[in-house]
Amino acid sequence: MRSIGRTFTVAFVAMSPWLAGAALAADGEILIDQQRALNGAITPGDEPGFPITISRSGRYKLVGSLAVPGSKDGFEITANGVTLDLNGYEVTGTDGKRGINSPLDAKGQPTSKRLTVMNGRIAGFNVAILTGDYAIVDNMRASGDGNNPIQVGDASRLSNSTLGKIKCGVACLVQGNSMGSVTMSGGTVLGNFMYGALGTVISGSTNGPVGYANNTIQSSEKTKFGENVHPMSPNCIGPKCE
Amino acid sequence: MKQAALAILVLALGAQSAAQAADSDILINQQRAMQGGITPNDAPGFPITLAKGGHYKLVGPLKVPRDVQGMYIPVMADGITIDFNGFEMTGGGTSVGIDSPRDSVGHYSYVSRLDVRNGTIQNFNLGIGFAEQARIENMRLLNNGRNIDVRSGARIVGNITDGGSVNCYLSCLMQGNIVRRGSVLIESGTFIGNTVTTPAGDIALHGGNFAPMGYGNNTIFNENGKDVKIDGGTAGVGPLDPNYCGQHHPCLAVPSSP
Repeated sequence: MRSIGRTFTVAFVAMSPWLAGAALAADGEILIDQQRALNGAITPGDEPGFPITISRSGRYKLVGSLAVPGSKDGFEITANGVTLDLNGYEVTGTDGKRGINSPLDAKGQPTSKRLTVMNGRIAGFNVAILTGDYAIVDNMRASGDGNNPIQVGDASRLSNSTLGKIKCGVACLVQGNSMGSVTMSGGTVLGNFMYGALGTVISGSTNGPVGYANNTIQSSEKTKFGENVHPMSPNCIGPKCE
Repeated sequence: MKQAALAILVLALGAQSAAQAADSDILINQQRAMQGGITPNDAPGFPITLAKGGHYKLVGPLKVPRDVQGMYIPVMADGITIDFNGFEMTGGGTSVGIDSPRDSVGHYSYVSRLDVRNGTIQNFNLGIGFAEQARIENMRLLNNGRNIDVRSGARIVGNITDGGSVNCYLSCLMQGNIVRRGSVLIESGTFIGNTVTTPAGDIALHGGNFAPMGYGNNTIFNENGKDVKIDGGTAGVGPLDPNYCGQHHPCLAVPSSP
């Protein structure tokens, strides 16, 4: 009997690292839910509770929705090369805070790069997503109460999503979304539905032209375009699809 | 004693099966790359030799030493899918991220049907080099000397590249990509709905020495406000839908010198 007990002890000790890593899925994903968020230690430096700090490159997947308490951001992404698969779940929070946040450099620009956010919903925050260059936002529903609830850096792609107002850097591609207005320093706005757009709906910059095509821009008043914005293929604009 | 042996056997079986997912993906991470044996001809370390058609999936980032390829696909290894699964492969500034055989004049040849998707390849001299029917989708190819060099029948969709050219020679479709601070060469095919910026030179898009290239709804510009042009090649290029090319709107196709 003692021998059997010792055997189980040995086996358990041998397996304990695997058990401790039960939040690590077989395909290398780090799994996240509300309880794991409250426990902390999802990556080194992640304190218990919110925000969930992601300090290591890799793939992270929600296995439950996250309710972020007041006065907290949802995620603080400090690493480059993070993929965040919301896996059909949602992250909800409060006005004044950010769903996904990045640290800022001295010029006020987000420092985290190469973030992919996909397959879920972010709601209730002031800013839903704030991140740096080479971002991919795909198959998301993300809105916010701030002036620019979606803020991504240069060479970013936003596609197949329902989004609030977008601010993007240089060389962006915005395609196949239902969304608010968009400001970028050059890029392409293609095949989107822009709902209830008031004021300036698409803006570029002096050296950053924006080409737009095949968009439906629904507006109750005359639609305005900002600097350096150029139609390519036809668009349907305004209450009468001009 | 017998129970202990049984327990060890159970654990060993568990460890063994960790490299093969339930859906028959072959799983790859840095440790498995260093061990080798990912396919029968794969020696320990880099490159990871993918000598057998199948579905390979990264389960962690890969850091590749200087002067060696990240992955190598030899002759006869047709039909390979590499799902980066959101992870990154980073090189040492030289060599090729995903490499395959070339012919006597240096053209990629002999291998066909490669799918690469959902990740990042960065800091190589060339990101992906392949012969026929490559599909490259939802990838970031960043800071490689050249980002893509594929020969024929390729489909390149929804990618972000920065700091290098994309060469997609014959029968190519490129759609919904961001090509930043680079240029694109398509000998024949379709180029539609992309954003392209050039770093310094004014030729952003080269096309059509063997067959025509059609292009539409692309925004093409120089980030410093300089002019950009399209090199029409000897076989010509033609706008499908309008494009925006800086001061030349619609884009000005400049025929190549004979």
